[in-house]
Amino acid sequence: MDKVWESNFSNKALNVRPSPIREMLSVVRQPGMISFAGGMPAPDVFPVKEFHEGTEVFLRDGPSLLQYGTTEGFTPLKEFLSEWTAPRMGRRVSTDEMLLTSGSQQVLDLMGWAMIDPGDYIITEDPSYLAALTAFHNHGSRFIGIPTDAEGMVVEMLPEKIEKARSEGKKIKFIYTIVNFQNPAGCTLSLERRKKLVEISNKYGIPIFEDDPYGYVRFDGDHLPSLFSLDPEGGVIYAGSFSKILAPGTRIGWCSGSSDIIRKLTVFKQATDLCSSPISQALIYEYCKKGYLDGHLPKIIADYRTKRDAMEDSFEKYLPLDEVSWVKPEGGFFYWIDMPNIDAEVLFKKAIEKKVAFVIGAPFFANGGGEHNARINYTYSTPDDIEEGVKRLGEAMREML
Amino acid sequence: MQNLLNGLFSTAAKNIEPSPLLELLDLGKKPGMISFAVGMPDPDIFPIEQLQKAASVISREGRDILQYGAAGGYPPLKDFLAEWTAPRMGRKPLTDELLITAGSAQVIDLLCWALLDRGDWVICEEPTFQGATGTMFNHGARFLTVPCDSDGMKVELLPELIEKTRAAGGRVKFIYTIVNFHNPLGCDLSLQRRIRLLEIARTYGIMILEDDPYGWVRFEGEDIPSLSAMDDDGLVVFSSTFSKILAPGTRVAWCAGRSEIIGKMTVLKENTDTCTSVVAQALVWEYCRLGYLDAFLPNIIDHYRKKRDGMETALRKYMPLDRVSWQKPKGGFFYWLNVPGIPVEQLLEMALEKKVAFVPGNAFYPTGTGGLNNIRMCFTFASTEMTDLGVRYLGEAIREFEREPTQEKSGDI
Repeated sequence: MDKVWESNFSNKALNVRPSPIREMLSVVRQPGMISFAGGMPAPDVFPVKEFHEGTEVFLRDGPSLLQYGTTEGFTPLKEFLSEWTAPRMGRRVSTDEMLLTSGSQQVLDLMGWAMIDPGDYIITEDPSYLAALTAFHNHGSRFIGIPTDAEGMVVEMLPEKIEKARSEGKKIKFIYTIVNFQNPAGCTLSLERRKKLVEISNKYGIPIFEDDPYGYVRFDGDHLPSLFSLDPEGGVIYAGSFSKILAPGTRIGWCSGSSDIIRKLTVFKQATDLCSSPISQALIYEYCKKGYLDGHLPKIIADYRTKRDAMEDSFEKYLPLDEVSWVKPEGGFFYWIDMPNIDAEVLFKKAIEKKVAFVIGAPFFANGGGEHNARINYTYSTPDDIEEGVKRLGEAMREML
Repeated sequence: MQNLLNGLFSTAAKNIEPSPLLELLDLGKKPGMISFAVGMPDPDIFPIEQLQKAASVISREGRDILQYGAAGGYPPLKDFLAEWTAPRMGRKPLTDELLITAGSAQVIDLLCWALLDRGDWVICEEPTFQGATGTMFNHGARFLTVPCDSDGMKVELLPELIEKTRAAGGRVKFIYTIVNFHNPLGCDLSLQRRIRLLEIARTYGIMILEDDPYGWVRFEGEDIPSLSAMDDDGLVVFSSTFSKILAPGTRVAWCAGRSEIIGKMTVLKENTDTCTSVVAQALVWEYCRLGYLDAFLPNIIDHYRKKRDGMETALRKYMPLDRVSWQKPKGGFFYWLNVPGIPVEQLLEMALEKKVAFVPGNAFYPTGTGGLNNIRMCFTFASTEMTDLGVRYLGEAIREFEREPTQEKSGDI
């Protein structure tokens, strides 16, 4: 009976691998390690007191909060979000155009359910969010990667890529893009490219999945219009999350799109987890309703801006500047380092010896690449640790050159 | 774009339809409706004050519980569950043998991810919980269904079913069974059949998903040993939930099994929703840690026992006993009525006019055939007064149907 489970595993289970980032956690937790590896918020910015205040809602609405909730999501929170996201969405979306989810990770899984048959193709940025690639891959998708530069996905390449893929009989289901402060590349899709991307989407009849977990965490510059707001055709599904603007432990995200795709996602959500925790949803609603979301968000942004600046300064000070380059992110969680003469895996081993951790570039590429890239998170560590960590990283780099 | 989007949907999306049952459940939640349809706990018995007290954990442990959590679950809650479930599991599960999930619906989703390729076969009771088979269907499952009697699944039918399927080249991946106070049947799988089921699973190398959401809600009689406790081969994944022993709004459930399968399910969980709401898990843990789970559970059981008794009394009082039969459940949430000769769809229409809702038996047949003369009645949700009134209406409605000259044999329940 020893192999009884293994011999019955599905192909998906046989192929699935734990995220390399999660795998690294044991390394990262070594004493003295400075970690730029995860993508976690700093616990110092969690509004613990304000969030706890909301728990009085149990006494007021206990009977309904402790009951099964609707799959679509807690209506008061949906109404709040519809209002709060209106500036970004270009209008107030109606309740049947929005679904509350168990984190925005669930939107990825649900989109897989609704759109992907094994062998279908998804267009992604190269590099892209690892857990998105994995979620789609589990549903059997294959990927067409489009390079990114400082202005995000090089959308000018899309028509040729799409036409070529179609001529080879490939079925493209949607374009997945992280528009603001991309994970891992840190770049933001420019306004011009946003318009072009929507045009291409409409022309070729390929919907867009606009993933925007970081969009509200902008340090400098102006917000750019969302793809959703630029598209009159209803071909964009937009996903957001409370993980970065409140706290990830709530596990509440949302998506907005045309009512027919939202309906499909809702039916699949019903089959996978019935509904997101009404308790989590109600606590978030209380927090938002009292004005804490708007009141506290500037503090989160200020904290991360300070850290981003600390990292930028440390890079300038400690990294071998003629060997590495990067785009200064205007928001979000990550730097993405290009280091053409440095093998990221070797650097990683050296860095771990020096007690600093980051994520190598390769896992973020669906079809290979990233051997000379590093993703560096700046939100989790303190500014002092950021300086010390970058110093160690710079030393490791110099030893390799 | 909208029409075009429809053209791009996956096969699963084209096949999936919201279950008609859902509409019925929504109807059941409408004010003024006496609902025996929903399988929901009674909000009157939610331990609201205790949960409010447990909420202090948010200010105490806020930095941890507002952060991303481990995909496998909040460690203190896992430790508590290992200890608390030990009597039922036969031993304390290790931490890598436990996975905390976002409700027990997710256990089914994750087990399907881990075991099913499209076209694989799942063995299940017929009738069975339609939410479970719906999820399995999305994953491409085909069903081998086994009839039940008052001792649960007729497991002696399994070897032939399995051999026939294998002979035709089919892969049978797991057996899905609701062991205690079955949904919708209300029956238990007898000890003898549990032992036999494990033997069969071992002989054929087939896994078992032991779904046990109701097991701790027993009104009378002794607990029957779980399949998990008697499983020496690591073939069983046990699944249960806080939905019935605390409150469903927590959306916290768990499963336990060999580390190989739990490990796979954990990675797949990470890909689907990263981790279960740490806030919800911490609230549940604090509630348990403060002793409320053990202290309050008897109140819940008492409350539902009274409601079960209320329905039993009403059924005896109002039903034409020569035309309606049932088995009194010893726990759980449901009665399953046999109403031979009564067209239940028509009965439902009449009942709804009188603002009484129930679920027609056919909804619980994954192959779509059967249950045409059965109805499921949840006794936990409606108040005792409303139960009395609702059953009276239902009895009256049944009497309106003319007696057929020769009654159908009721056969399998």
